[in-house]
Amino acid sequence: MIATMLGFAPLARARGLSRRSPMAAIGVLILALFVIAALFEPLLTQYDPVAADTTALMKPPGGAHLFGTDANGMDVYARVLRGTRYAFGIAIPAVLVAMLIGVPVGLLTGYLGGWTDEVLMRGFDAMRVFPSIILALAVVSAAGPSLVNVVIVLGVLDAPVFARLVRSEVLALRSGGFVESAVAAGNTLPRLLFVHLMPNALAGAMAQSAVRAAWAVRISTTLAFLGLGIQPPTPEWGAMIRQGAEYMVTGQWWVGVFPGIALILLSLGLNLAGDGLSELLDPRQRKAG
Amino acid sequence: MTAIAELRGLGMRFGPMAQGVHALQDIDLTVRPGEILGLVGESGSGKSTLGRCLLRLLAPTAGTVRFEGDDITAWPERRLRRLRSAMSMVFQDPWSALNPRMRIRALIEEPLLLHCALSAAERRARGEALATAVRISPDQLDRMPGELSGGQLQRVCIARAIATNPRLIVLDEPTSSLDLSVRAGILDLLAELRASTGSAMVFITHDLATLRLIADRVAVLYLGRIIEEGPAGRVLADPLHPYTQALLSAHLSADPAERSRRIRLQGEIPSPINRPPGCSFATRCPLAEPRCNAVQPPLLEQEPGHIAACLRVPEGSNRLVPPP
Amino acid sequence: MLLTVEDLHTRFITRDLDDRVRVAEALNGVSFGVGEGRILGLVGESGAGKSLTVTSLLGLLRPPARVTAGRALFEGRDLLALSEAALSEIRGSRIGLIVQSPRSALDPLARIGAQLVRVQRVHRRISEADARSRAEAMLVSVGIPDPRRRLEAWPHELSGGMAQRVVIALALINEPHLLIADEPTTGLDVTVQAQILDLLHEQVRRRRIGAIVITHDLGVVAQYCDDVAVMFAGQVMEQGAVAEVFARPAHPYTRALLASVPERLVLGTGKMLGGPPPDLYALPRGCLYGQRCAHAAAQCAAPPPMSATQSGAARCHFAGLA
Repeated sequence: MIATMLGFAPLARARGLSRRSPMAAIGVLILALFVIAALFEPLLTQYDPVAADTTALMKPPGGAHLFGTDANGMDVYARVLRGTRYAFGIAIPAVLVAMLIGVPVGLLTGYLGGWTDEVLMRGFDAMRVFPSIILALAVVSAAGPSLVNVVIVLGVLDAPVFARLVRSEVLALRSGGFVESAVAAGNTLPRLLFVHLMPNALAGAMAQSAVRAAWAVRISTTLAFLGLGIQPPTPEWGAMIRQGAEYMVTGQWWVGVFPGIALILLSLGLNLAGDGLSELLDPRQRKAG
Repeated sequence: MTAIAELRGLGMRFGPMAQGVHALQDIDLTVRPGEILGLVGESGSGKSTLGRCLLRLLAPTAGTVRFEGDDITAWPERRLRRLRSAMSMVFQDPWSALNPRMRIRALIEEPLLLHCALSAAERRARGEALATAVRISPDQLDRMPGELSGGQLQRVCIARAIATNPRLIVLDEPTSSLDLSVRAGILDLLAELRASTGSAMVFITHDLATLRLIADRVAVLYLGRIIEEGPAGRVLADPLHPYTQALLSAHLSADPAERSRRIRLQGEIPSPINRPPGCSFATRCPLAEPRCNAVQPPLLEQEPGHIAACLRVPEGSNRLVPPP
Repeated sequence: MLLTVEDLHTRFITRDLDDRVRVAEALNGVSFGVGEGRILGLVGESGAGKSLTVTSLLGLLRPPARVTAGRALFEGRDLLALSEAALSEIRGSRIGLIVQSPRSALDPLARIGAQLVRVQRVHRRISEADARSRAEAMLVSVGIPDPRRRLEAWPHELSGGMAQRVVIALALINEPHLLIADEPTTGLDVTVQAQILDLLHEQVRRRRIGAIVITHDLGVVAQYCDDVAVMFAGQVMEQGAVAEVFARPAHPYTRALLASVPERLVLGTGKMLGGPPPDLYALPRGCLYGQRCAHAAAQCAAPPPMSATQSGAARCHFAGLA
């Protein structure tokens, strides 16, 4: 009994997930590996990712350096591992900022409708007209390429996605049901929005958060690749790919390819897990009995 | 005797002004303290809209709504909020009327939290007393709505509705989505609460047999108008309007020995979009005369406290004769 | 007997998030019979398994539900043993089905006439013109005025009552031997409900076919059915002729149900027997009604057999004594 509670229940649940949605299980597995990489990076490599070693410049993969070394003699494997921290460190706060702005806006516009809805949602639409990468480039180049700026810009740019998701759920909940009963009981507007509507309108946004995190990782690495994000020698994947791109033609492929693979894998993992999550959280797909 | 709630000349139309659909027209209705007023009608009669106008959950497009003498027709929600402790509502579908993410305890305590200055401990004690009053056992208080049955959820809704001792409770088909044996328990509870709380209740239903058990007065709605109103005993025993007579005889008795001699109505309720100019029931009424299609019959008092809108009542030719 | 159902069992077998197998025992030995020219009322509260009984019989179950035991003899064949192809041959021709919501039963993208023609030509060789004239005659017999014009109507142009008449016409057009109506009047207004039930009753009598009417309304059973089967937790608790069962109910559940109808209800007695049905995932070993029964005794820990009563049969240890 206790054994089941401690050890086997999560295993059984994982088995359940893998049968229900094998792709989601693969996504969760990939994500788990990246989380381990981010948390236990010092234990997984003997190298300091920012320590230059002039005795080992541009070593190809194999031997002492699993993924080889770059032009500064830094270990690419250690840098890819450390880069995981930057990826999560940008994506998670960016998604939180996006939700912090998008969720209240979605609640308000969905519930009130009318001109509040028109003004706020049209404003967001206007934002979506420009490709987000162009807007991000413009803002970051104006405000300066710091980590905080990148997080804020990504969060603001992604807020409309969450606003739309929450708004559509609120629209479905607004007429009749417990919302009307909450109004009849005399709830204030803030309490109506945050106590009654929010917990019931968040499922779609939560499910999308992993997919949006993947988006944030992609955009932030793109910014770094274009030289507008975090600067080298910080072991950020976008910056590493930018460095590595210069050596592609001369044959030192490993400098850029390994962070590239990490980026693709993390993006894939987040997307697969996110899709699985929406399936589990979406009440329309959840069946009784 | 002052009225708890009063509707005068109430009208409600939905949709754009030009081609809007009249859900309610020329409604005059008074709810007296402590009474149970039955509001009966089929779908499309506007009975639910009427209930929501009484509580100002909807703003009518014509006429006035008074609550304890105050004209609340144009009050903004901010101002109405304080009144919400004096009026409450029980909805048809208990499965959707409760926030699925709140515990039963929090749901029952919510009206107290919103309207009464109580400490957390006092609120908890009141909430438990309310649960006992509606026969919700203490161990169910810490469950989520999804774990309770429909009948239990409706009891929770009733506990919420009586929490602040309101003077008016509107019950919108509170038993029609429940199973038969559960329904009986809810009706029993309502009868008991009526005696113990003294709240006036407006009981909206399509089932006349239920009203016979519980209502003091009955108002019958057809296509957005009140067509008959009076003491429950009189309206149900001796309905004046042909529609009320037909509705009453359409009820299927659960006694096979009682082969009801039904008055068969032809056709269905017309759409409110192309409402007939005269009596709205004239299209289906077996007693209709040409003038019924031309003149909107006035609601006249036919006997003390019993009004009906039928041109044929004064001449005594308003009785539908069931087939032999 | 036109249809004889014996000991029908249906289970829902699923796995939960923790990968444990969960079995819901939804039907637990349903038995009843439908005679020719008679209407059987299948009555019970929600979750009793009324509709599930019909979907089980007609092979319309979807996973995770499946029939695990039982027989259903119809015209000399066991419906539960037939192939899907043989069943679909029977559905819509030998057995007509009327579902609760007429709106969802009609194809929104086909005119009424086209649907009536299609359902005939699926099941037999008949020319378009013949099928059409039969469709018109059928609309007349279900009381639809101006049938020729109605054949050209779209489903959304019909009122609720008219749509239900069309659904009845669809169910009857292939002259089935058995008609199954699942809550045929639930969404309709009180005054329209009587029209539809009168129509059903008249058609069954005139065609001398059998019918099952699923309902939760005892008034429908009392006024329109010949026989009744009272269901609870996936079992028939009591059955017999309507007049007999309503006059002398032998099962405590039937008695409780009858006492709850508005005209018999007495408020303020404080002995209300309503309550949730038993958990289908953990059914009690003995009588399934035991937890709610006012007369439960020691014997009730053992499953009661179906025993003969004055009015028919009841699944109660004390049925004979009452």
